[in-house]
Amino acid sequence: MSVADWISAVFLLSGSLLALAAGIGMLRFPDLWTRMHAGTKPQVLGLLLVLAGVAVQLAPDAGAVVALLFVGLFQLVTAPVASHLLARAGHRSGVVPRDHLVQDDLRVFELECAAGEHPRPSGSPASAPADEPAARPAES
Amino acid sequence: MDVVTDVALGVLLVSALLVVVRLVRGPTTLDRAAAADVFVAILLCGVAVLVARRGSTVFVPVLLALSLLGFASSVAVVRFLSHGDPSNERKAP
Repeated sequence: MSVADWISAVFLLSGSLLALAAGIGMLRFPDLWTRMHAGTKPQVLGLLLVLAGVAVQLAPDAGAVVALLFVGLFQLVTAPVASHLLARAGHRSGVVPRDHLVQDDLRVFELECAAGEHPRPSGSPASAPADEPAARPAES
Repeated sequence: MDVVTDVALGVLLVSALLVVVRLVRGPTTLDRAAAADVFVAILLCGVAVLVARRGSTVFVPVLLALSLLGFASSVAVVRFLSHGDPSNERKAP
């Protein structure tokens, strides 16, 4: 095995072990947020490590390396968005036990919105977000 | 190098099976959505290891498509669920 093979092997194996850690965490952790915490490892760092290992293997082929770079970039951009939506849906639907939280800024923000502390700017449409039934105006 | 990719594929297979167990068990639909998200990520890792094993770039476009498809499906499922699914009202054990 050449030096590039050794580097690639280290990257591939560490990425796979992060995926294994995510699998064990998904199975063992008690609620949605802790499971997401475990599941984020292969989504970002694990995938980037594996892609780095593959890129070392395919290094002479510049086109393939650029394609792998784009895969990593897409995952880096999209994984936080999906995780944010998932965590917020968990918060709103009450799946996760909120009383374990040390600080719950989203709840504080909802209470402030209900108290009318954050009026909508006049230019935006007046409809409440459709996925928040509690905030829907009474006349609808 | 074949031994390394074999070991990596085996580890990825075991972790995918663990995630599938959560996907089947998951007390709420949101847990299943999170598990499906992680499953797509592990699938991406698996296809990438396959590319390294074969040394051919045939599967690289598959990686791109899977990455975007995983994001779109996860966002769609979560947007759909946040409209109030009765099965989300149960508490996780």
